[in-house]
Amino acid sequence: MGRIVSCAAVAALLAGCATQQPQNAEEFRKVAPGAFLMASETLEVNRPLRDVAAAWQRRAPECLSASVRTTSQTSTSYQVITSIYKPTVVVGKDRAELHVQREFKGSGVITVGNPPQGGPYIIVADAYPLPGNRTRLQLIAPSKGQDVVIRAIKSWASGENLGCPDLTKQ
Amino acid sequence: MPRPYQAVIVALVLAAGCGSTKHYSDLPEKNLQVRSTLSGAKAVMGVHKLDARCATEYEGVVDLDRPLVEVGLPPGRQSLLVFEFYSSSLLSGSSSTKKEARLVPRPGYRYEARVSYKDALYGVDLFEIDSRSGARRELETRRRC
Repeated sequence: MGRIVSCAAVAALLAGCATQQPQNAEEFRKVAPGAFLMASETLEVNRPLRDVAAAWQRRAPECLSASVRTTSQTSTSYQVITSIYKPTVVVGKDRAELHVQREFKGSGVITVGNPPQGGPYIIVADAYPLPGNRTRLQLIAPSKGQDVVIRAIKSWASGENLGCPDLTKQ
Repeated sequence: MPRPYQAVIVALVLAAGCGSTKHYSDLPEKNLQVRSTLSGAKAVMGVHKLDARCATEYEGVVDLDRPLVEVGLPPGRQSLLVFEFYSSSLLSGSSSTKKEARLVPRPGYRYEARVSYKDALYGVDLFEIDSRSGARRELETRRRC
């Protein structure tokens, strides 16, 4: 539950506690890197862009089109919150993109600002071709709370592990 | 109830084999090998009968408590295999995640499921192997309905 609160806090901070949240990946790329509790990371993988794109196209819908139901119970309350993930992969000639959105549903969930359909963007990963069949990855994501998804996105890109992230471990 | 106690109870139930769990009564002829590599989670495979309208009928569960488990599924009939991974800790409580795979075993073929869980990444890969030629192909595991 604490994690959900902190994620909501990240979303609120990302939105500048105002009404306007990034409505697409491009706006997220501009706003998120400078936001509190957000991080930007760049790394290279030893695979060509087409392989990275193919792995994302195959794994993201399979692994990230998912929802997680969290129940929390105390002696006085019982709450059920569902986190719904929505991945989008866009492949172009010079760039592959993987966007992840997430929205919370359930009693007591307060929506901040005007999130886009599918929920606020939480991760945008971009892959660019490099000489020598290598690929540069740029990830913009929360600095805490999405470690497993970020690890999966990197592993799919490198080919190291094609497994799905256990979204209950966020 | 504080979460650590919940986690302990779930762990005890899992350790006890879930008492009332209905185990899958498979066929004598084993046509599915489930090869598991699990670290940090336990796994089971639920077997459901799947009809043409995609309605399911639960048939039982197979414990994936050994690296290799052999199962006999009815050939020529749609089965829905539900691989479920369980983990628990005193601090974070218990959780489970699952992946479904639809399978229609064909006579003359055998099947292999590779099931893995490591570092919170899980995988289920399903292969069809021609019993005569040994030719192998990977099957799509996504449920289509």
